[in-house]
Amino acid sequence: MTTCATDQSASAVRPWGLRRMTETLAEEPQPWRTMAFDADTQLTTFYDANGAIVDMQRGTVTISPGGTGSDGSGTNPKVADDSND
Amino acid sequence: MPPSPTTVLVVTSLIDVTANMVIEVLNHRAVRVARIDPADLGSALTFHARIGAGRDAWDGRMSTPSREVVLGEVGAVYYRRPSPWRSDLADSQARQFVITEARHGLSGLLRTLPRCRYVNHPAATERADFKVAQLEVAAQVGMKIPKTLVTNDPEVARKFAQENDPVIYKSFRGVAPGADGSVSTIWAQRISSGDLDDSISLTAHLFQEEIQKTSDARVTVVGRSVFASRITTRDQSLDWRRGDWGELVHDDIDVPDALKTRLLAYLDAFGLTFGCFDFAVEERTSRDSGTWTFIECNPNGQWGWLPNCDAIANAFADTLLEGW
Repeated sequence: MTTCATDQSASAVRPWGLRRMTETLAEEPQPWRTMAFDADTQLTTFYDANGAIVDMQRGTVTISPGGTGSDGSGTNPKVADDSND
Repeated sequence: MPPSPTTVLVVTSLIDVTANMVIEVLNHRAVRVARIDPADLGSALTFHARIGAGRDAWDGRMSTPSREVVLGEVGAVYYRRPSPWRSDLADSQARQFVITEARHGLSGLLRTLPRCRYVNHPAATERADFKVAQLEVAAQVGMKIPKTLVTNDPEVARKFAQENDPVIYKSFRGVAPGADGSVSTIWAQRISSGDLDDSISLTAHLFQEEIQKTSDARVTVVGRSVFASRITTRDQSLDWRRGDWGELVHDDIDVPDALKTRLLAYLDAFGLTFGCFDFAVEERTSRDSGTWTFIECNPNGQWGWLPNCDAIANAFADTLLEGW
């Protein structure tokens, strides 16, 4: 029993580096509501809730969706990944 | 290079705004661009490729709703940030099968296109993504690097921290979301030996001596072109990424000529054509080019927020189209 208890407490230890993380970051509101892809130019354009074009060029975020440091699909969990800066 | 290249393949997700900047320049230069996201494989992306029977290189086609791409006409690949693989199938075994087979079949092809210029080749990006590899190559091409320790041994970590006080801890890759989906991050941070404990042993940790920098420099190298910005934060932050990026102050900074040569040697060592380097700069006087210490190089880094982003986008186009 003692061994079991020790194992349980050992498995609950969090690695030192992980305890250096920040508090939960406030989720930044997505600056755009809809996106359109232009078949001719292969460019995407982003629009806000009022249908105005959002200038997305500046202010690249440090927190991206995806599991591979990707800027990919918004349906994926957001990950603060070092590959993203 | 194919005999008559016509097309630049841009491998990235739809929401990648940085790729838009390069595509815009390519459009101005009247070059055909095909934007594909491998994760679209299915009705939004079909492909076939053949080899053998007299062919010693893959030939075939890729089709998206807006582009038909003959592989032999692709002269360059701008490999940016494709979406993570996905599958809507309910069964997890089937989902995993779909993703693994797609990764090997389609991504395998995308990294094997004959005679193409890659910016960057994904295999080169993967190799150059390891901070451990970065530091060694930087040292070998003659850059100054911080004294660095990688370990899971608490005693070795404590000793390093005592001897080099204050030291910096940084994680290799950041941190995945919590079980509840909450997002946190781990900034590069100053620590002392008293902060350390035995849970160091659970995984690898990276410690570095602190460089007494007066500013940071972001140096973006595309092909043979070098673009540099000095970055200062209002609060002299150790890690400039932690604040509001809109508050960062950027100004021009000259990269010493000897360092430029080393930057190119670094990229060559990894087979990269592009990289975003971070340096800690110690300037003593305003006329002094200072001491530049290599911090890291992101082989797929962001540059869209930099003041010279238009020139960088043009350099990407120059590099992709070189020799056409």
